[in-house]
Amino acid sequence: MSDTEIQTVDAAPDAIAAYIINRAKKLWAEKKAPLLLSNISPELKLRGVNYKDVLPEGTTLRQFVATLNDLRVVTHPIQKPKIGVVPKDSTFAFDVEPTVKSAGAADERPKRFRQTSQRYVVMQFLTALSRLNPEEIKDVNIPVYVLARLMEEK
Amino acid sequence: MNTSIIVLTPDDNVSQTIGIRKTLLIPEDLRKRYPRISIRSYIVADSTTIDDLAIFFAAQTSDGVIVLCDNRLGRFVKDLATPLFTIIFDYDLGGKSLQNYFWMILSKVIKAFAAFAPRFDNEKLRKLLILPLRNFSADGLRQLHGLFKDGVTADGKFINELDKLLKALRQRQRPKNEANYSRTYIVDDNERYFEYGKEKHSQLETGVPPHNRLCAVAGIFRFGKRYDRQRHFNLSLQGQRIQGTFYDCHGQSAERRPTTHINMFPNDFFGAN
Repeated sequence: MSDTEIQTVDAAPDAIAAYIINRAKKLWAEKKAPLLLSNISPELKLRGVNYKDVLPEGTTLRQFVATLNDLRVVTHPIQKPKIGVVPKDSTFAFDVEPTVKSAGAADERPKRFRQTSQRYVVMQFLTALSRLNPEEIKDVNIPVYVLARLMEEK
Repeated sequence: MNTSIIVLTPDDNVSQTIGIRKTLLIPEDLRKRYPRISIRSYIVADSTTIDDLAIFFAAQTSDGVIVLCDNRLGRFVKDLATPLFTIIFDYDLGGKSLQNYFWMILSKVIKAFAAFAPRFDNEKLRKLLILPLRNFSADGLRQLHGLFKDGVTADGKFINELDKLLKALRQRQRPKNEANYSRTYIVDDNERYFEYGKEKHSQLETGVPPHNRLCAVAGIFRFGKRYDRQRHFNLSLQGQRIQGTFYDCHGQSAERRPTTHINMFPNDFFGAN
């Protein structure tokens, strides 16, 4: 789909059928994915046609696509509103989401990024320094103004 | 916990490995704690139908049945997940080896089921868990069903959610107003009184047709636990005869003429007037 050059679709059932068939075949060829019915209506509107004004009154999009010989309607086994069309000869079926995760408990919870307090880090750093032996400590020189700056609250 | 874990897979290799490794696929601590858990696979071919599966599951003799369903076989979930404790697993095995993957998921699945089973074994809770799902009208029961019907999410939240819903459902229990009734009933939104009867005079019917194969599975298992197939609920109203439209075990509706009560099995089967 090129957004720069959107071709209009004629307000006729045949034209809508041709558009849906082409889109479904292209999507299948490129991505091995079904064309979802929920995407068809906005795509058609973008091309200047509202299918509800064109198809016989009371005909749903699902009923309409079911009449297209080149396509097959596929429904998600659990998420009922998820309905799509694929070329008739394709073997597509929706996978369902696993309901059990293989990751351990620690991986399950989204890790919260915790902003560690800078003061705490400085304290930890000084604590670490205190563990050095006197010889090593002697050689550590940190200007007090740097320490004071690091202890400032942001 | 006499429980069978059945892995539904279209994959010969997975099936073969399960056949060889058997309970070694279960983490050792759980294997020791629950020595009566068995595991086997069922190969689902393109030609396998829900009837084939229903016949297989109706013939299970264990008290518990856990179904591990390959996520490419989602088409079976809506029919299996109400009678059986069904979990959907990733056919890609999370990118791990089969042994590692099954250790991880079986640990969660068995823990979830082991938390659920004692609740079901308690009759005070069991009679809530086996209410006829098509005919008992209550959001709380629909939500409880929702914890199972699209596959159980095997994590720590499952049992907490279940307990919350069971607690709310228990609030629906009350006696009738008449002084001579000391029995308690579970009352739905339509003010229909459901009493889990002790009598065993009525017989569950599962002949095909008019029933379908799943009626028999639902007539012995609920959420993966076996229940007494000979006991039924007595449905009645307060102070008047009960009548109206009811849904049977395969989803058809039927009118019942006014009567004192209706015998209804947990799978929604009810006899003629």
